[in-house]
Amino acid sequence: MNQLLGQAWIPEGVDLFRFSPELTLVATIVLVLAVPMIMGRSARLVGGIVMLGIAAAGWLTWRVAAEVSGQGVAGMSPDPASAMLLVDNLSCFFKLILFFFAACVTGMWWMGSSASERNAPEFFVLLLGTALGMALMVGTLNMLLIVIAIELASLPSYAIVAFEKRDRAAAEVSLKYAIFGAISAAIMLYGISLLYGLYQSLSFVEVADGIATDLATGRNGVIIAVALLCFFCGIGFKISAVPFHFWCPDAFQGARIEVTTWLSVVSKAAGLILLMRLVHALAAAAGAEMISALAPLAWGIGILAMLTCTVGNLSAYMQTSVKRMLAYSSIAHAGYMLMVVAILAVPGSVGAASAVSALLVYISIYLFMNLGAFGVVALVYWHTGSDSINAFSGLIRRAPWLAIPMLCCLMSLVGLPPFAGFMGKFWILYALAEQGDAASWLYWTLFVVAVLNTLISLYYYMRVVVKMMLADDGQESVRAPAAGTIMVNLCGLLLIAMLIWAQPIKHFADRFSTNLYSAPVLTVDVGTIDQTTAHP
Amino acid sequence: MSENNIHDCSMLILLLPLLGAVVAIVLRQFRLGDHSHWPVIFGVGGAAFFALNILWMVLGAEVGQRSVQSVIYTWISTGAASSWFNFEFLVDPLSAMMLVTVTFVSTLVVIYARDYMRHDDHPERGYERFFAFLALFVFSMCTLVLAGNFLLLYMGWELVGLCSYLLIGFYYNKPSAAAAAKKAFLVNRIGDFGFGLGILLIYWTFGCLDYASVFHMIEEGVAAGGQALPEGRLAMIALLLLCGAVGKSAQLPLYVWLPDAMEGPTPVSALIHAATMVTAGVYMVARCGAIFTASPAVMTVVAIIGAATALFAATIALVQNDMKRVLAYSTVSQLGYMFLGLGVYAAGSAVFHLFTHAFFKALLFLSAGSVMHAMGGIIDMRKFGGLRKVLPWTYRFCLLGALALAGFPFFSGFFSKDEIIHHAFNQNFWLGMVGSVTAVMTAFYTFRMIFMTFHGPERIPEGVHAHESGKWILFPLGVLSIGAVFAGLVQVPGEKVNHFLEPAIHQFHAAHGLLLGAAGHAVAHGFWAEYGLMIISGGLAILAIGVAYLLHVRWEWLPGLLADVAPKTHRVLYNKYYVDEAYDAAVVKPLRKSGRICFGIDQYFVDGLVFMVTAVPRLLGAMLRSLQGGAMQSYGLTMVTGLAIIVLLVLLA
Repeated sequence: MNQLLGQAWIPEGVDLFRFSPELTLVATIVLVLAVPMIMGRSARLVGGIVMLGIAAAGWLTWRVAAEVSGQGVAGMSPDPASAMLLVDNLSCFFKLILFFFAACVTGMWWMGSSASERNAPEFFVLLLGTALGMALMVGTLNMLLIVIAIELASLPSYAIVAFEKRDRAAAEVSLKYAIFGAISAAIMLYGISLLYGLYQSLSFVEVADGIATDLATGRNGVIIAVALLCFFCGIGFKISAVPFHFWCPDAFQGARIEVTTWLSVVSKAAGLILLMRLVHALAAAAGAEMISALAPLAWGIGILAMLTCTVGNLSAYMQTSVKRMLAYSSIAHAGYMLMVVAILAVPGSVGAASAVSALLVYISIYLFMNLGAFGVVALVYWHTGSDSINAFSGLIRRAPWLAIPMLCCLMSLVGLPPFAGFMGKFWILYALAEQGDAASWLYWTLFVVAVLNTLISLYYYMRVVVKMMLADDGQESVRAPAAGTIMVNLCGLLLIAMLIWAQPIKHFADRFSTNLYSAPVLTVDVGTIDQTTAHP
Repeated sequence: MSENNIHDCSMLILLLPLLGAVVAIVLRQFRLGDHSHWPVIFGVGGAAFFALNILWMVLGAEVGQRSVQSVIYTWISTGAASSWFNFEFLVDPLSAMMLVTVTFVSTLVVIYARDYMRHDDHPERGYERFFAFLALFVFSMCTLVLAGNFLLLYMGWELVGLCSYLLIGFYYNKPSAAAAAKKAFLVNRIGDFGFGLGILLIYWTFGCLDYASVFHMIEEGVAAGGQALPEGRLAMIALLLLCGAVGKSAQLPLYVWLPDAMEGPTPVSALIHAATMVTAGVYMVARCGAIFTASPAVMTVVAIIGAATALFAATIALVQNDMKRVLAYSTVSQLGYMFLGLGVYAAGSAVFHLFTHAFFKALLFLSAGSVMHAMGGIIDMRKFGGLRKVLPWTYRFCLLGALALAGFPFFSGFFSKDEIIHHAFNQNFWLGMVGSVTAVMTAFYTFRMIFMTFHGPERIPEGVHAHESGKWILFPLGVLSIGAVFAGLVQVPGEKVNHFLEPAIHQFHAAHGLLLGAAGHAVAHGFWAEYGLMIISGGLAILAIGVAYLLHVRWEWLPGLLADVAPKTHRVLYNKYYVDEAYDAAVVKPLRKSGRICFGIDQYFVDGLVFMVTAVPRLLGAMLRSLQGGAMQSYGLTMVTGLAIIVLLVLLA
């Protein structure tokens, strides 16, 4: 940092361009605060500004994606060897998803809350603040920036969960969420400080090199394991991996539904991508000779994934609130995605390419399933004032155009054809099977656990379907705004379309998952370290 | 033949009906359900137009280039190129001919349904649903026909099954219709189970599912990875596929669903259960000639199933009193002919019979529907008679269809049926005899139906205002009757259809070692060898029609007497050989009984077990819930303990 301040470093134009989506978000936040002071606190006005800002950020991301697609990673730092910010295909992919989803969530807010919203500017400052944090999370390997990004994504979400200030329950879960966040941040900082103490560097690439050297020579094994686990625990909190998941159901249930939708997808996706980057950097530094040295890492992540998946699904069993059930379901889905990350912990893994692309496909599909499912829950909630499973009774009669997309989304969440969720699961299972053949029976174990969990999950998703289709206790029909109905139906249709066009989606994801490997930052000096460590 | 044009036309053939289905449903949202026949007519009619276009292109291409496989896109690829599943079409003479038949008949049936599904110009309940399902059916059937691999074929196969189920049960408030729909679905399930296994076995054996590679590998005699084909594997695949065909095409012993399927609206019977869907089995066997002809034993099985079904169903049709049931059994019998044709290596003749049959059977069904419409829903021939004055046009069209079905000389059915019998005789005398006897019966029951309905003194059920149907109904009848009369002429002279189909079904020909469709000619030349059978069967058909006339118009007392003289035979036939009862006693009742036992077991044992099994997750769930008690301290404790345990595990491992 001293160096940075001392030289008064000024980023170049091209760096600024690559960073422009984030800068646009910052500008939007400023506008959202400033414009209402001049033009009055109209919720619609604020919503409009946010939409424009998101659209601009999305467009810029698209431009940046086109620019970086060939050359992989770019750093924004005076020292090219230790980049603060990375812009590569992976981060562009996530940012595209992020901004698209932000637009959808803003749309939900527009339909459901904007009429009665009195604090629109504050709401969007918080929402866009989390978005900025997530965008930074996927674009860095610098440990300092990782902490800042995670906190930037977390702090506003504590507040936004309790946005209904008068709602005591919301205030309570928000407090819990914040305390949890604090605990896990503390643990994570402990891990990071251990790593910094060991290797005197904040760049995780350099740290990974150091770890690889140490593992090869058998030094510092315990301390490295503790440090890494503590570090990953902070990320586990973001993706609500068991046992760091306790905040998740409470917070998701207490928050507004658009906030729940938002957190359920992107906050987990950001954490997963960050974790994937870290694990990949470790594996790349270690090199193919050190598979056994990194095996505990693979096992650790694998066990976490299995636990997350199983606990999420089992806890969803008895829920009576559909919203809470979907919160647990999101934990379970984070578990499925975490399984893929375990694949990356094998250095020089043959399955790494299919793993990354499977994860990206899964995230893209998961986005629509959750958007549709939460969208229907929201529309039903806005009409009936309840998100209990009983509010869905006889929905096929009361609102066929809500029941049908809900059916699509739930079936897709189970992973049944003809819906895209099937493809998502298929690619994950395929990557696991590939790796199971090549590397270790851990992945076959994960495979079996994933399949069994799919079976378990069938029960609680179908409970809602049965309630919608077969039960009817004569409640009045549901009136939903046309825009919302269209949105959820589009989600349902897309889920079918994404199965029919499965391969093009996969190709799209493949394209965005490639340059993670050709990244110059990641491959720096790996060869020399290997030589020096393998033959000392 | 440009691949791009073929590709575009194929896509349009699929998408237009699908679009029609969607628009028909959407119209309802705008309270325009009354007009929902329009999008479907345009969608299906458009598909017919492009199907003709495809046929035209195929005809225009050189003989060696009439088969085009076009990959639309890759659906899933898992690593190696051989394990790619493509969304691909195969357009060749066989699929082109099937497409034209399907879409053309469908268009006419949809036009017909516009009036049929209305009463006093008020649409029936579920009008738009009906048309949407019809359009969905056309989409599914075209998928089945156009499919370029077994996966897509299977998808189309199941989709048409679904549409059939939905349409048989269209009047789902009627218990008999709901039961019939269920029966059709379940019986087809039995066949489809074998079919699915067959496809899996193909994938297992060859490692791919697209027609071109599979058939090529069979020709080379290799399995996946260049290994030799296991002994008897092809025969096994063929038998499993045949299971599916027997179910879908209502052959012995799985034909029982088809007569009951007449509970659906008449246009459905005409389209799905006479002209198109039930011929899918025939199409599939013809398509998989490479697999079926590899084993002569399997071909014999096909021929015997076909012959037995043809005869068996014809005898039942002799004494039925329900007009639609007569036609239903007649359909089963005619499908039997097609299987007989396939089994004696005359795939060209079988497909040709499929083609002509589509016209005259659809015509007959739609005429029966017109009668039913006029009689206020009554279809029992004992309750009305002498309708030729009341329904003059229906009578004329129906008569043309009946002549075609009966094999009256120079009507379409005459040519196609005669060819099959001809080939059957060349293969085996007894198969030929069964074919001939069935032909006589066919002529008899067809005209028994005509005479009972339209001739004799005029009798109209009480309270029915009988009236000729409107132009929406008569127009399709007229067009179809042109087809029924003249469709046979595309084959003569010179067996043009067989030559046209040659590229698609050459395996039959190759396997038989004879020139396709001209087996007789190659064996013996001369007037009698070529035309003798034709003259005899034509004469027999006329004779049978005469007998029917005598029995049912002149000596009306005679049928009753005959029934009294041979009461047992009549009862057995009238009750359809008690097959339904036998199945009921042998399969359904025991199944039910075991079902009841199972239900008991289910309720007390399995449910208990399930309860216990789910008790584990539920217990765990409850435990987890107790963890989620809301107390911060316990949350934090669990979290840190969890982390500590993981650290320990990793360190110990």
